[in-house]
Amino acid sequence: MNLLEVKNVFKTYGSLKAVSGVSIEVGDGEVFGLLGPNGAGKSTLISMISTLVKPDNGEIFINGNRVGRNTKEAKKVIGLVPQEIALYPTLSARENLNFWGRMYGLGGNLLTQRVDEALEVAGLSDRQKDRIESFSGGMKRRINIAAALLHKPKILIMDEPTVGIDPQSRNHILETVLKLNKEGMSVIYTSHYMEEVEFLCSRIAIMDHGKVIACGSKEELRNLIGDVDIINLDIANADKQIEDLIKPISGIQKVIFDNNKLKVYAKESGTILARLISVLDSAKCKIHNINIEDTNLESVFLHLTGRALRD
Amino acid sequence: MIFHIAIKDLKILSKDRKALMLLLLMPALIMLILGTALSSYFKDAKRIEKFPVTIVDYDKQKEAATFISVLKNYYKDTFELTENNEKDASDKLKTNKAFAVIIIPQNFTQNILKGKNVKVEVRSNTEESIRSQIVEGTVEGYMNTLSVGIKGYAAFLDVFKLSDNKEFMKNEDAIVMGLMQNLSGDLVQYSETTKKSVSSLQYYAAAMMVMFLLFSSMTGVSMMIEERDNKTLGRIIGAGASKLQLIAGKCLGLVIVGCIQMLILIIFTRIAYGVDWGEPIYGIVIISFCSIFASAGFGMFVAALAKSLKAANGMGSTLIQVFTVLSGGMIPIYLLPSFLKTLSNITPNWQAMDGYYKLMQGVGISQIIPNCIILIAMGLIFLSVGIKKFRIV
Repeated sequence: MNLLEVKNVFKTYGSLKAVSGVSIEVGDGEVFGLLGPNGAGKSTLISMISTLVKPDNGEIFINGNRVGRNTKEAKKVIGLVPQEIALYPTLSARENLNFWGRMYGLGGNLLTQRVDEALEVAGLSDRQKDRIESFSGGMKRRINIAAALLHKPKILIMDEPTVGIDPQSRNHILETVLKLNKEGMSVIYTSHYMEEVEFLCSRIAIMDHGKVIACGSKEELRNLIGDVDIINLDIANADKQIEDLIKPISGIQKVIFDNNKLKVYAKESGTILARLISVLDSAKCKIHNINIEDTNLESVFLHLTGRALRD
Repeated sequence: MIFHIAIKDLKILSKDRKALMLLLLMPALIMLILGTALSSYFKDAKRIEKFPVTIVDYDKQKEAATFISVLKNYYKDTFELTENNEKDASDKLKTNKAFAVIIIPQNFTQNILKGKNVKVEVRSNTEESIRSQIVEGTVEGYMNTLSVGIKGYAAFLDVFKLSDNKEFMKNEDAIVMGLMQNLSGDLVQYSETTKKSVSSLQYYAAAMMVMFLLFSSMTGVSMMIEERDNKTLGRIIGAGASKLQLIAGKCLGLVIVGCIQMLILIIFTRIAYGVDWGEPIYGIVIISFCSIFASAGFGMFVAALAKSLKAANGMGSTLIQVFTVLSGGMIPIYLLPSFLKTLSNITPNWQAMDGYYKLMQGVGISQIIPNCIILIAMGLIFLSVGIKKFRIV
């Protein structure tokens, strides 16, 4: 049985179709990725799965419980990590975790034990008495996650859990997710960071404009487009117009120039590289670095939508 | 769950020094400032000294003499009564040698005995509004009692005339005098058992406490909207609480804060300013609880209708200030135009203040029941709108 089943769900806000006919399934022990640019509908979908927002249409089943009918039972198996730091800044880490534990129905020794465990998972046992407002962004994120683990949920829903944090905390969070998954917890992980989703998730749904435009394993998604490479160049003496000079080169699908970094999506990158360098040279651009990436989720998204993930 | 939500809010509030200052110290300070600045409006008959009143008698008949006699005998501790002609009386009024002039019209006695409506004019010094009101109230009370007595006597007389009782006819004058003396006695008895007065500090202590109670509910509103914005409310719902439990927890927090605030302010004003909050104590507890409930409901109402923290603060502050002004929380209510006095009835402030004033005046707990019912009803209406309209995410 799937732990989560979302069947043809719709949600509209005014004239905006935030989620339009989405269906996904998440199995037991799976790390499922929801990838898409900002505004794709990921957070709305997460809010509906977390029972915070009612769908206009469609059905959601969590551990066999239909949301709307057996919502209370459904909630018991969910651990939600919101995109925002949903904590009380003037309370200490321990006070926050105690409160969230009580909200999950814990008390007494069990609560103390679970709070200790959660602080350990967050790597912040030594800062448990400090106020959340005194923590760095990464530490806050870690407590934000720890608060969702207190009742040992079957399924952990993480909405953009690494936004705006330092690389050290980011690595800590990614490792934590893998560790929890190894212990048997299913995870739904939403992000617009392609690398994180690619690193963590066994199956991925790509969302755009409120719809799931592709869903499958990493290999299945890569196979959708064949062999498009990404050529990354660090250049100097260039402006946005460089995109127009490069686009006409045969085999190039997309060019993005931002902050002296040029990203070129192309088939058979080896054959166009010489032509590309020649164009940049004639435009008097100085090339500092070149590297070529294999097909990834970014290029899949580009192929499916004609836009880059972070456009 | 409800209890834990409330306790969490109290913990957060206890760590917010600015909010604590606003909730506890500000009201005490403002009570003192307003109470001191406006104390002259609150001097009352029992506390102020005997004041001069002059009387102009155009009737010079029996009923006028009885009226003057009542004023002289039974109000000797209140009025320093002199008789003058109208010109001298007006001069005294202008020069503050008299605070009020009572003018008994011609044919006063005759018209009374004929059962006609008689008006006794009271001219007063506008700077002495309370004293003027005392004189007007005394005259009006006497005339009302007299009117009832005369009508009763007329009916009584008709019956005896029909019975042709000669003994009664002979003693008619003595019966009338006896009746008037009894009525005068009733009037004095009424005067002695009437309400105690409310001093300026008592008045503003109640007004400010109610205003700051509403402001404390705004602290709760700010916390709710902040929580909605940083998604902790959504997280609480996601963790298993229902919307009703969440709002009940929030309201319980507000009620506890309100109780603490009121307890501290009542004790503080009693000790520091000697404010007498009246009795019985359980009456104070009941009216306080009803006020706190209405205030918590008001907070939920604002939180539900406002889309942002800024909007909530704007809406809440405006409503509280309007309620405070309408209810006489800034300027004493009897100085407000009559249509504003009527409007004040629909404010939670006035219902709460009126309840406290009744207890301060010692009129008995039964008199505050209507105020309590209205406050609870207001709280329920506010809460119902709040629960229905409040968005968790």
